[in-house]
Amino acid sequence: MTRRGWLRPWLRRWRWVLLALVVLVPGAALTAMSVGTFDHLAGLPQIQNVSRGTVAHYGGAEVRLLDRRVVTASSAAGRRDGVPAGTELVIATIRVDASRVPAKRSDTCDAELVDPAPGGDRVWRPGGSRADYFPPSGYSSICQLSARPVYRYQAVFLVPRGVGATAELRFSALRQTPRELRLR
Amino acid sequence: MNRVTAALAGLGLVVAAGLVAGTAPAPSVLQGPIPVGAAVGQQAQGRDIVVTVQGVALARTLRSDDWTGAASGVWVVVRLRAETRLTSGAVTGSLTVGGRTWNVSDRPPVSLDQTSVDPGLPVEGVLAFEVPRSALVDGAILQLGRSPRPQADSAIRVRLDLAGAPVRPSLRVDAPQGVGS
Repeated sequence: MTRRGWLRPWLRRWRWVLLALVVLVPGAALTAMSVGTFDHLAGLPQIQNVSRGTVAHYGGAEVRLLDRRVVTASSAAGRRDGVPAGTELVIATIRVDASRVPAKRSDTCDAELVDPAPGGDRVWRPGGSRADYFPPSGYSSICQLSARPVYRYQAVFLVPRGVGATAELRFSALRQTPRELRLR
Repeated sequence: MNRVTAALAGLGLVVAAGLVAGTAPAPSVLQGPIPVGAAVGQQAQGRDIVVTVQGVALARTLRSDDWTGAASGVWVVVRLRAETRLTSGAVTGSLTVGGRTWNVSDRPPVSLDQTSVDPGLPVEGVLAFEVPRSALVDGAILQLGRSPRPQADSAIRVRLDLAGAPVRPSLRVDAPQGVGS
């Protein structure tokens, strides 16, 4: 029997099974992937861009970037604040009004400085302990979305020279994840 | 298709499935550390860590500005330069000798793992391990990473030869210092 001779009867005999496989295999694959897809989509950052001075409503609070400045090591302020050579200090001041957040929905908020790069985002957390700068009185270095009077949160980052002007300032709270603010 | 062909095809599929199952990495390999070998003095680079072990010293007592700590055995003090590549956070490690593993001691207040290390901002500092004298042998494995036992992440591994190394009565250790990036 030639190759063609046995293939046709075999296909005819198993056509319904093959048809079922053609439908069921991609269907099973799509179903399996859709479970992860929904989770993946639900976990993607939901970004809200907020320009300086604009109020953003976030987690029941009002958040507004008041000021963001870069202190280079070679500047007078940098020398005064002990900014190490090759680095710069980024000081972001954010007004937080969480006075209407119910106590049971209190949350810890956080700021990050992110430098998007092809090899992966570089992320700095507030700290800057290697410099001598400390938030002045009247400013908080702790961010909370909880019932307390309006306050000014100051996030201080020490970053390599050249990063401060371009890195993104991101603001988030644990219970609001994956929603986050990008303060510009 | 005759029965012999079908049987051979079936057998082939079973063998292929066996090969796939037999060569699939174990979960411990998939989730385990991704080792990056290095020697003392050599810079090693992982996914989120760049580190150079600058030297190793042994001592019975460590002292810093306002702390002194005597080891029940011996302190193994690793001096290193470290920076992260992507995220701020700790750089820490473990020391394995003959199947036994010690984490970095949390006794010295100046330990590097108690400082947040930032991307692009290298620091120099020490990690100290408190081990029994019986652990002072050649072939100790120092593992450095973003956690003591990295999972699915880089682990820098450096072989240390500790046998015969002098044990100092006392050694001063200092807080981590930033160095030029």
